[in-house]
Amino acid sequence: MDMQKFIDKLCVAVQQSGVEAFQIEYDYAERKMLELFDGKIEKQSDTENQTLLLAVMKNGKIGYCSCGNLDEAVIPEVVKAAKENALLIGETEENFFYDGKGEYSAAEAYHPLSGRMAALNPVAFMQEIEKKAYAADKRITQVQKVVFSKGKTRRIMRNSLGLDLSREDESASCSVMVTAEDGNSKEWGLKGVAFDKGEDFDAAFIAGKAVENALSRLNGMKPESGMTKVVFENKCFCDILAFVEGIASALNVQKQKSQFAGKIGQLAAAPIVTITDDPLLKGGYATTPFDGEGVPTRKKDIIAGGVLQTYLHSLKTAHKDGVVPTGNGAGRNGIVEAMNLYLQPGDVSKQELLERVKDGIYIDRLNGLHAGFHMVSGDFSFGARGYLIENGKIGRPLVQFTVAGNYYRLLKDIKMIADDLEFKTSGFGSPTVWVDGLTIGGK
Amino acid sequence: MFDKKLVAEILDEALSTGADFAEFFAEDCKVRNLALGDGKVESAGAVLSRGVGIRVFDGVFQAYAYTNLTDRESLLKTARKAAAAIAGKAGNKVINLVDTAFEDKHKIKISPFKFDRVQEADIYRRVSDKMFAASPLISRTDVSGGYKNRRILVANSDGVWAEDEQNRMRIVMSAIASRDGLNEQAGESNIGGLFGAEIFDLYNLEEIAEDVVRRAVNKLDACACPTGMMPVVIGNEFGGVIFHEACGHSLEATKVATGSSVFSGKLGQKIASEVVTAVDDATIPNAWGSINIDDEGTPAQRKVLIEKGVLKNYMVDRFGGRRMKMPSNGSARRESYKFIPTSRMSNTLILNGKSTEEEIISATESGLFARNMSGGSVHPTTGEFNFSVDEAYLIEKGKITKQVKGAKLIGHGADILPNIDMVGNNMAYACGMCGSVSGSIPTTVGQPTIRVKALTVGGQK
Repeated sequence: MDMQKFIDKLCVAVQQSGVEAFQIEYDYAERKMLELFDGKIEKQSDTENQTLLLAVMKNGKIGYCSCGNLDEAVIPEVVKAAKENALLIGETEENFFYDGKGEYSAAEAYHPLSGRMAALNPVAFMQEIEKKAYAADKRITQVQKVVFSKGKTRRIMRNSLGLDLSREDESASCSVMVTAEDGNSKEWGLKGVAFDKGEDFDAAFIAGKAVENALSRLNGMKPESGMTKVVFENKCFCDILAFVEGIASALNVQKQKSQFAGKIGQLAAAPIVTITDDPLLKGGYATTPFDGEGVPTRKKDIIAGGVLQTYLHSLKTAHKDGVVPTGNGAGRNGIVEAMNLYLQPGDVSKQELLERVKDGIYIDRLNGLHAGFHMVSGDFSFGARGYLIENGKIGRPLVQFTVAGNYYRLLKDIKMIADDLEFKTSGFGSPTVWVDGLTIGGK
Repeated sequence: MFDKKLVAEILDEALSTGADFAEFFAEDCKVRNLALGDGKVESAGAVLSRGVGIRVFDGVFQAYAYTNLTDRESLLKTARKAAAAIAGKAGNKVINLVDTAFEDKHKIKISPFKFDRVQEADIYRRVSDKMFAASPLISRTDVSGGYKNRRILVANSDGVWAEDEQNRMRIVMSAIASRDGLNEQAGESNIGGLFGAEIFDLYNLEEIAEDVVRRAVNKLDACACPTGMMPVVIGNEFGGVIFHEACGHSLEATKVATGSSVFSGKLGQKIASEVVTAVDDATIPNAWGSINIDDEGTPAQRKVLIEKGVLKNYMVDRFGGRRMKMPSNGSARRESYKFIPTSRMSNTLILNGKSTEEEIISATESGLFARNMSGGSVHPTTGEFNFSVDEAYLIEKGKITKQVKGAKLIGHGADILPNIDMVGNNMAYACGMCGSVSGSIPTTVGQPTIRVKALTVGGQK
């Protein structure tokens, strides 16, 4: 059934169902994906999908029903389920829809460079990457796969208070994973690009980075266990910084799941730390003029000079705290999300930072992040890979070790921040960072 | 969901450019969930979804297209998209589609969709009340439950027509204990299976709630875990996540077929110590990771992966099997029609050995007893795994002494298997969600208590 017709019929049915207000969110996505192995496309997909989320307000509570089958026959079931869900809510917090009357800033979000994308032959490009990776070094024993993907999304949000918003986005990516072997040592290297920079169209550059990454890890050793100075590579620290989204979430604070509760205006990090959420960042991977509730977004410092400035708010959490929403609503149940959240860069180069550290451990990859982090206590322990820092330079590779500490303390133990801010496609950004007080588990 | 004539027409369209195999997968799901915080319903959700995925093979090439526009025209268009990836060959035709007969091993008793949700919320509220009553240190409780009805239809050009209905239910609970500005959280999510509302009678939720409280409160007094290489005794039940991460993923055709797994080409070789026998058994009645048929329509099987240390089998799907020259053993799974199915685990277990847990601990001079795990991950190329310990104790002179917290265990899958030197006799399993290339799927992990001679433990001390 035609989407527009479906939405119109759904609106009529909801209006007749005796709810106080309602909101409809429609998402459409299409994606083409190619996967190359051994010179040939091994896997290919071409997909389209639509989802509709109905939210209804009954007795001041919001109930939801998500539906992927836009067939007229399901309308009564969708309306009934959403209304039933609203009636089940037992908490006393007030809920809101947004009327769309605020001012929306223009925001230029990430998009692939369209002219160059049009000229790109994906299969030839992927074959070139594979060829270059094999040719780069005889220790590259396998190019595991090269993946190319290109997609479009469309979102429409409408509600009975007058909200009427839409946006369209495009994305594209390519990644390669290689295996390097030397004697008994087997390692992997990965490089991914999002086609928003000139170098992303250079097959030799992509292959080179993955190869360099794999080779540099060969014949690694376990570090000694104990406390040492730790430097996190910029993109790696993005993964650590991502936890700020959860601990600065007003919803988690209100549910007593974050130790940021009651700390506004207090020192929550080292004085050199400023953490910003900028949904309007030009070219940002998470740039958007409105949040998941339709509220206009804006740039804000979460931590400035080490002092906690604000939590991230949805309509519901802001009302409970008696503050203005920050435009960080994710769109359901008052849940909050960050947009482009990053650590402001310092003024030393990465090289100077390493020279100041002199001896320590450089970490460029973490794993087991989700299970290894406890938001309530702040305790964390992650699997890690990296290199020794020897006399101010990145030295021998390190494998099979852990890095552990307490997150709330880590924010205060940040000793130095370099000037090399970089963003991951997750929207989180960070420069290279030196942290003290962490425990390394190795030999 | 769809009639045979229409499906045959769509398969013919998918085969029209010369594919040597075509598959039609349809899925219709209904989900309901409830989440309570501090005993009050904070969110209630519902999901209705339906979609179709069409896949074609040409040797070791596969193309996939999916849509959730399920009218005839959209389906034909989707079939053409898949077919377009293959060109220049004469078309093939589908033979007769024949029903696959199988016994439903996982019948449910009470459809959760017929169970009163107000009553369901009441059950969760009582669990929350129990947690608050169990200790004055509890500052927050979370209890949630969800169920999913998933109907699937798989038809392919080999003539397979297989339909199944899967009903899964799961309950998750956690509590936060707070004292003097110190906060600790413990959770339990092992309550789940191919059940309906009878789950409320099968499990004593209030007893489980008290155990969650005990674990959260005890953590307040736990000290930082030591760091370094040491013997580690890993508890039963969710402890099985170590085998799942360290070895299971590397035994999936997804990685084995292209030779990128550490266990590629090692069938018949000794890869583990003799005390280790492990299976992937998708046929356990009503277990969380069980299925009647996989997402390619192949009946579920019990596969012995490792027998007395020797590698016997892999998890194989149709496509991976083409490279490996092995038939599918019913291991193809996917989160939904949005994913190309691939070989995945179901209920993956280390089977019982001879020792009791007490014997294993008393035989350990000093080390760590990792009683409860909270999840982990692996890189299948190197087999490097990591996982987090939720409840752990020091073992000193063969006895459990202090509780410790914040531990991570890391190692190489291929290294850990020969290092398992004791296997207990108390096998039990627990449910989890496993994320990989074909999405997030329900899987069971399980084992008796085992001992690993040496593992890297990463704590804060």
